[in-house]
Amino acid sequence: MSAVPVLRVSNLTKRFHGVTTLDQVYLDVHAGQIVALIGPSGCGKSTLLRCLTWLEQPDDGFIEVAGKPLGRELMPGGVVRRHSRRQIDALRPQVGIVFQQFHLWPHMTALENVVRPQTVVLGRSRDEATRRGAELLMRLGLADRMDRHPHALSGGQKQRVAIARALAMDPALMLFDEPTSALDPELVGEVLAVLRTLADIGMTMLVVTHEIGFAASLADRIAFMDRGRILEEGPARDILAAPKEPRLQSFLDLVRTDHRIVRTTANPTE
Amino acid sequence: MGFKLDYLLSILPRLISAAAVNLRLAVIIMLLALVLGTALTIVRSRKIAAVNACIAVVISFVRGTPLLIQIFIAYYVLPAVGLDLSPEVAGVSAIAFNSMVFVSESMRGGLATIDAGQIEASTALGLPPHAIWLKVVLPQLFRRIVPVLINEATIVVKGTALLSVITVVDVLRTSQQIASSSYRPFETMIGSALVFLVINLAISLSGRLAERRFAAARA
Ligand SMILES: Nc1ncnc2c1ncn2[C@@H]1O[C@H](COP(=O)(O)OP(=O)(O)OP(=O)(O)O)[C@@H](O)[C@H]1O
Ligand SMILES: [Mg+2]
Repeated sequence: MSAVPVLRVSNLTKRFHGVTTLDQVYLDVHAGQIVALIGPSGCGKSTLLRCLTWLEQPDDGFIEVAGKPLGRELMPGGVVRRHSRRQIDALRPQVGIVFQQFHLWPHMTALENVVRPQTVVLGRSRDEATRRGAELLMRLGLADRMDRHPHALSGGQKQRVAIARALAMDPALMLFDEPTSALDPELVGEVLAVLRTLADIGMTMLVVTHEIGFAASLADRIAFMDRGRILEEGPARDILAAPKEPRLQSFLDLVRTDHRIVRTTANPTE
Repeated sequence: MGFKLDYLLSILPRLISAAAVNLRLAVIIMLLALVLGTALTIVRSRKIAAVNACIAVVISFVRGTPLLIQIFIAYYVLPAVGLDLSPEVAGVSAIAFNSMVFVSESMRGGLATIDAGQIEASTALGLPPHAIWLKVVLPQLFRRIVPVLINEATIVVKGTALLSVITVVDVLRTSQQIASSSYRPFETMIGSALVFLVINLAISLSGRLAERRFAAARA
């Protein structure tokens, strides 16, 4: 394991109108790891991902991406220096995020969605960006969908375009917010397959999910969050087989007895 | 005094060449209104309370007073505060200012229908604010307000006739000049009405074609 983690979150705290949503979160994700972030609804999972791309400004704590501070940094002498929008934007391509609702640009074709951020943000030539975009879409099985606009794509196809759009920026880390939740249950296996292909190319990922079976079959490590804190983190097998935290135990009991989830997670573990 | 078709036909060439003035001014006005209306929309979207309060006062003035009075103000009142504008410049400024407000109002309405998630996705990818406006927001906004812009263009074309009262020699003023020497107001007024009608029909028609092409591009 390399010394510098791809993602290091320390003491991250976020309050909304005085209500603490993230409470001193610590998390390291190392190169090539897939970490599943699980926890009950409203515990702050999405808020954590949003803070990691600085869409939400944390009130306290630090984020480091591949050793570089994001958003604010601790200077010698204990002074905290806030970064400018320009500095933050420069680091943002390093963190790819795929939202629950994908948020593609509806006025551009699938290919253009993937090409445009490369030319605008990374300054790549159109040719190079198009080559890279087409290659990614092809690898994600969208070779015959590149010229379509998002409204003419299925949910699963939109998700893959969104993944390609983020991957084209050559991120060090990919974040997924509930990749299975906006899609039909039958597609869970498909999403799993797509994320596995990313794992095969060594992509580091932090995946929010409430489907334990999905987490079990995908992740190397699982982090359990409750009420804004990460209560337990470790190798996926250990976390699922021998949870130490009572709240994690009862959370696992709850989702395992939920028939709907048992049924939908039957596919990926096959 | 009856209506004489051949007299109407004989003055049409003069009216049509005067229409070049209306067209030229209308194009300038629409371009200014688009640029200024876009700028105003961007300023308003920053939600700076004091700025938006001032803008709201200006907007209520523009919407609540007749365009003709706004033109008179630009032509007769502004020189009193040191801004001595030629009739054309004063007229173009007044109508463009008026139109800018309507463009901005409809853009603001369109802005509300653009999903905030798209902006967040753009931000997360590292697009700077100006690129988000240029590449993501404005292209969608313009497409959405094409019908409003077409409508506004026809209003602007009709509005240029008002500039005849501040001595701009346009279609209307030309026809008045013809009528006062020939004493045939019937044909001259019908003639100038026809000129405006043809221009606006052409605008509406090309607007509808543009809309259909946008719709086809989206499908
Ligand atoms: N912009 C906001 N303003 C105020 N409160 C917010 C905001 N965003 C999130 N919250 C609150 O923070 C808490 C955590 O929300 P978050 O969306 O991070 O939960 P989550 O773990 O992703 O839940 P779910 O599994 O349902 O998606 C919730 O109580 C939510 O109401
Ligand atoms: Mg969430």
